[in-house]
Amino acid sequence: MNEQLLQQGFNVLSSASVYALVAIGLSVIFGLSGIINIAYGDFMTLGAYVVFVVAPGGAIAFIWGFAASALVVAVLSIVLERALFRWTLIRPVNGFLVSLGLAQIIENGVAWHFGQDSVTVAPANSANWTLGGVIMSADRVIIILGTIALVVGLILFLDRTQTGTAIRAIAADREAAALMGIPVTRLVTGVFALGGLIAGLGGGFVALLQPPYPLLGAELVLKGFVVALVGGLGSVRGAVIGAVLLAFIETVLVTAGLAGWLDVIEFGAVILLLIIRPQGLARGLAHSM
Amino acid sequence: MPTGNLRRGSADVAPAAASRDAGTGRSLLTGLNRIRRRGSAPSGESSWGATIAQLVALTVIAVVFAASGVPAEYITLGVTVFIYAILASGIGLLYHDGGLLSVAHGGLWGIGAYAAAVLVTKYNWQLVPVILAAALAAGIVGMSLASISTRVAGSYFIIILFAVSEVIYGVMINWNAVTNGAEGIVLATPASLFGYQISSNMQWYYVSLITLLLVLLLLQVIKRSQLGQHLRAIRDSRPLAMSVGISVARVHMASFAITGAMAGISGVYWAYLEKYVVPSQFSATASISFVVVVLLGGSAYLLGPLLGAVVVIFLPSLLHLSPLLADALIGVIFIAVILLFPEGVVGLVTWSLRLLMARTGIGRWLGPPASKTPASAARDTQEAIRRADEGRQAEEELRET
Repeated sequence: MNEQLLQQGFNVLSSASVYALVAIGLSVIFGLSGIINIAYGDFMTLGAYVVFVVAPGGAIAFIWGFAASALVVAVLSIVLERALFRWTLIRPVNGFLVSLGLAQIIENGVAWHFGQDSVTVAPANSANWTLGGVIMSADRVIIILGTIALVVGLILFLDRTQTGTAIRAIAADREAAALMGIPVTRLVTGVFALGGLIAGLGGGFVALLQPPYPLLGAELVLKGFVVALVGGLGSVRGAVIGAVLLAFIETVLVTAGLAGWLDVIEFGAVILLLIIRPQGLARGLAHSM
Repeated sequence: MPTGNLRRGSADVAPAAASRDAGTGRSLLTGLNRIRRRGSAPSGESSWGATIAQLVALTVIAVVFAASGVPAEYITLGVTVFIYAILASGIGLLYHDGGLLSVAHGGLWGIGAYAAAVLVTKYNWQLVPVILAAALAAGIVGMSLASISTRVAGSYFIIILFAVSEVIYGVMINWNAVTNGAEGIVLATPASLFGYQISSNMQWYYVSLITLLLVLLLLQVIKRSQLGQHLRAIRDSRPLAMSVGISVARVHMASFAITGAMAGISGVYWAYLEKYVVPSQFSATASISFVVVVLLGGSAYLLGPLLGAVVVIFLPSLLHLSPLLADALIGVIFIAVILLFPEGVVGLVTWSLRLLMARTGIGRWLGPPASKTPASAARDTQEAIRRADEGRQAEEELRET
């Protein structure tokens, strides 16, 4: 019984990792620009497909796959921010609309070029480790450890460095930050690059969990938003807590035989939560911690 | 942390041509007369003459198109355009007058379609009661969206409506007893309307065209009614609107119920046209494509959503592109429109025509001036304040007597 619990806990962590990466990327971009970037999930799809192109055979080549997907998606993010999102900062709802168009372009473009069916990526490490009775596939361990490293690094960066402080200042009040001499537009570009980097790595992780297909990211992004919303949009810690919560609830529901109603229950619960507590869950948690 | 409010207004720049046009002495006089006759003129709306002219033009073009012997598949595309426009025009009202970007109307559309499929295949209902039932069902679910819009605004509202559309989709796919799950329902029986059978696409073409005309007329009435005025007042400043006694809940409930009912009716026609309903037609993707239709055409214009639907539906078959590439191309066009012509395709056309015809006065018939100017926005709120004052005065007079 105890082992079973631990096994479930391990599974929760690996699916929470992916949710956390989506939610963090969305959250950071929203916090800085106010833009709901619905194309963010498709950035992850692109990352997964870059891994497929660079390292379809898996194994050690995966390192290059990760590096390539992080680089490609980050550069793409910078280009898109400079070319498109830059012009919507004054009216973030237009940024959301632009991202709708982008999502349409990426999803259909990927489906056109790679086909609408999923492609297979061989595992990075097909070993299964057993620790204290818990069977852990090496790939899932890579995902969990990679996500933890990324999250800790990001929190340290935002909390401890001067650039991180500047980014938080912009999130708090863009005009005031600009008046204090913070290079707002440059940092917004930087945060889009950071978001792209996270999406690229996240896409690589997702490719380890399941075969990539064109709508992979589109299906993740709505859950990512829900997680970010529950955690309080703009907060990295909140996004992590929300992701673990979501993965935990999903595991419980699947165990209870409600797999089909998963989305209805999750999204329904978030709607109710927001009707009862429009300010989100984050503040409540912050007070109790 | 940012509160996520829609920062409206800062980028709403009225084309210079519009204000130039309004500056002539004659239109000033008409405007004054109108204010004297029936309170203030609604902001950003065309006169009834222009509305009627546009609807007549639409009817003539649609009838000539159908009678000109185009291939049968174009008629089918035409029905799809009208179905999209019935729904998208409602979304346009919510967005332009209410500042509410709804990404849940694809789900309401699905509720209408499923209502038709279930009521016809299981209970053999006639068309009119089916339409009423679908409008009622989608309208009630739509009305419940007001419980969200009164609590959260801007980005939060958009995300939660995505959640709503996912819930509706999830119910459709899991409620096997009613919806037959992912397999969907086949609706092959022709509709019967007052004893006549409606089965051919040409018949549906005219039924949906007439419905669209009625919907556009109704929307124009709403925009000019107190409801439209209150909706705009809430959009411009919620606290100010509330302080003069406007009930945000009531106004939003009415707006969502009406546009939801339109989505339901549109869904009924869709079910009959496709002869097959399945949950994947009504996912968040559907809602997104309606938003694209509305903003591509221009939400500020009566015929904007219709024109957006024409572009989205006819472009792929005119260019002979594969559906995937056509959708990607629409994404490109959409981004270009959002960034370069925020007034949409109709806005662009009207603006260029106005520029050409500024002196002839014909431009006046093409539609409303560009979205609200600061002055007209203020007018809506002022009008609401004035009415509240009148109400208070009347109350005081009553109390004195």
